[in-house]
Amino acid sequence: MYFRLNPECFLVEGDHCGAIYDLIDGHLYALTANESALIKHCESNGGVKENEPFLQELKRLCIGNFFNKPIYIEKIRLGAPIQEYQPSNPPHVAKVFLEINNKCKESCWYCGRNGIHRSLGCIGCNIWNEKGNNLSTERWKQLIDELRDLECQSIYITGGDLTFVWDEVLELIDYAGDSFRKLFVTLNEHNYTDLLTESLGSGVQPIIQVTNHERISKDYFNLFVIDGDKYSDIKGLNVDNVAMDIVSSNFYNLPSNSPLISKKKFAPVNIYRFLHNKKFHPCLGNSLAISWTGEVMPCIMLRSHTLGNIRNKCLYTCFEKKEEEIKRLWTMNLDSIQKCRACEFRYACTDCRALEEKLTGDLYGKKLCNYVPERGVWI
Amino acid sequence: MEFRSCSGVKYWFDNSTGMFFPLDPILEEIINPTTFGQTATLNDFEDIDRLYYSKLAKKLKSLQQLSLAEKHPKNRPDEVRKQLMRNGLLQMTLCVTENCNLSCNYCAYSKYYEYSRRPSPRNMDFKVAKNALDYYCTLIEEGKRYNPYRKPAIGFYGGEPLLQFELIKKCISYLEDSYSSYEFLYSITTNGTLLDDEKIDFLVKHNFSIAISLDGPQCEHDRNRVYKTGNGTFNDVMKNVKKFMDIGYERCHLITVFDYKSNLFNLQEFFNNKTMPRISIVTMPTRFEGCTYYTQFSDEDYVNFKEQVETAFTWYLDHVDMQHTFGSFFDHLFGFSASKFLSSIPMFIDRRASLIPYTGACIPGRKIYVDINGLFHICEKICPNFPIGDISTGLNFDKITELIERYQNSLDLCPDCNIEKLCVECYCAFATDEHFTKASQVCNKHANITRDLNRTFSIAEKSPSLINSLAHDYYSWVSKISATMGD
Repeated sequence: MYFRLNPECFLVEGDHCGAIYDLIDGHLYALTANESALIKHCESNGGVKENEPFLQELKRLCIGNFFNKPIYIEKIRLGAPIQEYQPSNPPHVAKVFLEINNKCKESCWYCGRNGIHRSLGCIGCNIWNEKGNNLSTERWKQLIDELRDLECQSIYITGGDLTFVWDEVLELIDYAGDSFRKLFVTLNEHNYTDLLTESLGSGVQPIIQVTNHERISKDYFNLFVIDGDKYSDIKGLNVDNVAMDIVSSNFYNLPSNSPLISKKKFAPVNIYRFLHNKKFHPCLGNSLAISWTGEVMPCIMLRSHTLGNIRNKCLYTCFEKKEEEIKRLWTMNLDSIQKCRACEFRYACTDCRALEEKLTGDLYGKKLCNYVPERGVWI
Repeated sequence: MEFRSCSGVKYWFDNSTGMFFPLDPILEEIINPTTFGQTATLNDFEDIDRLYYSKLAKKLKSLQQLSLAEKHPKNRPDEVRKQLMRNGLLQMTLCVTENCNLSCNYCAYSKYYEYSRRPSPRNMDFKVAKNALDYYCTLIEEGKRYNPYRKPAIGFYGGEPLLQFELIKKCISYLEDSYSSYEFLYSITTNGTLLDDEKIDFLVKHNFSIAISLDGPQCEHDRNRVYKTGNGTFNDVMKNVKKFMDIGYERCHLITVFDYKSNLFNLQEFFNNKTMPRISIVTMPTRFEGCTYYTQFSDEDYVNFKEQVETAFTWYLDHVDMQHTFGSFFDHLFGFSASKFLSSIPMFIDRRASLIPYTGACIPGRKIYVDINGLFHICEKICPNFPIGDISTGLNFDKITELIERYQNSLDLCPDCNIEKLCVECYCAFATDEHFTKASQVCNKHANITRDLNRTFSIAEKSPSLINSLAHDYYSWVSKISATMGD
């Protein structure tokens, strides 16, 4: 008798244990070392007994089935693998952050200029202790044209306090039209009003940065900034429209249930995320950021990793000149991170390279995780 | 569509998703494979089966919904242009001569191919080549904002392109002088007889990808690949191939053609040899519309050949394992062929063919083939009656749009075909003098595809990991020596 996982179910091995990802049901099943070894044996068409309780349980969960003869399962994927080998494939630009100003009158303690570490500062607002001149509105418009030609999917307009340049924000949104699948604009609890968000129009999704959970808006997507050292579960948070930005000066005293180091790190499993994470970094992959002075970076928070400046040049020149570097950053999947490579949950996990680099001094470092993959235990 | 592997396992191919499912008796009883709807209750089954199959039915439904997501853009000149700027222009191939020093029996320009051109002593002028190259470089420059990763690639083709070696040298010298900021990828397809030391030095110096036609041992090669005198070319080709092997040049590879008279085991023995360059393509003489090459063979030839293929496949299946060296003749005939077949099936989404929902046809302009007169064609394989522009006016996007439209109109069977996602045919299979023959008159794919699926899944059952590693190995290598994939 033979047992094979369904086409939508994948075994991922860690150094010690394994996990099964069900890309349709969205479940992630943790396996012991013995269970993982058994599934590996099954997936190579090795023979098994039909009364094996573990395999019967997997069948009940609709993860795999028994067969009388060796069979072949072509796993689920998107598109044709041959396309990935084409030497001249264009870059697939999924999201680009446009930081269109660097001004704010508030003095939030977690702001980027204070050098504070943020887990999701990229979609919030920050200003930076940087010198330079803003790119002109005309240049931002040209950039939108360039992103359109690169078939960029999503644009995040961020700052700074965008209400300082609100007319420019509206002009750029109008200029972008319906060329992009998604358009986001970052506001915060100090500057947002319903009038402002309504002026954005229906095709634009505001991201509201808040520090007080009572100010979380039901109508918009919220970035909830939390002091990581004082983190505790907040009841009633709707995870569909709230993302947590955990902020700390050093991240040494995180509680064990913090979403940065516990099982809460895992994002829901689905086909797109799993296949993306197998090839790319879960966050940096297919992503770029353009600073207020025109610096191109892999992420708003990775400001020292500059990929060129587009003030006087087209964006494509950065791809031309930094092709290898951009590919390296984008394909830095969690197999590239030593600790994550050993972990069976690596294709479901979230990861912030900017934060890890700040904490370890190494772009490939890893501090924020309480799982020990070599032993298969959470500490 | 149902099919079986050699071991008798039944599979189902679902065209809407591009997925394959093992079709066990219970699944067959309770699921309508076309709609994925549940056709029978599960009350009579054991608990474990009831649980599994009821959940599976729900999963299959959600899979079908997943496949409905993609929108196809409209076939308009501006859309065609945009898509080519982003995904096309991968190579410009110059036909530097229509002349050839050989007279191979199965040549695509021979009497056996009704709609192709015939060999002639005509050559391309440098002025034509220069204008074509200038236009291509203009497109590459313009296209950078759509695809900054594209590397310009120039191919030299014929006839026998090395008959025009001086023109090739002149073209490369011109490109190096005029477009020094570009890193060109050069390739050439040659019969291998004219490769003297001077030519080899030049090609190696410019890092050419060199495809040499070699059909196997002397008795096989010389049966079809002959000089105009009728004498075989094997000894001359082998002498020149050896020169590349002696200097360890890895960008030299082989194109191997076989037909009903070939002894496949002879080819396996000949090519399974580390002193030979790697094979890049194994193929039979093309069967484009208007091809009469196969009429020369008797029924007995065909039956013998078919038996031989079955024997060879059985042998291959018995010897499939991860220990063998990649790249033998049988690997190409069966293993790579199966692996490539699976790798080319678009599951859920097919971005490349979004303007062309059926068959494996490209958007004309993906490559640009320039004939000696400066007319642009879809590729070197298609008959000359479907130009898509010329060196004076460039690519004609209106014409390309119209050509796509005409091609789509000829594909009368495809909308109702339950294996259209498996189809790799293109314009060449349907093109005649001025029109495309209807698919209903050309297509007999079901029988061949059932056979291909039988072989593919038989190999995959024996070694599930091999089927994926073969494609990875092959395409990783091809992507290093070629500017285009999947042609």
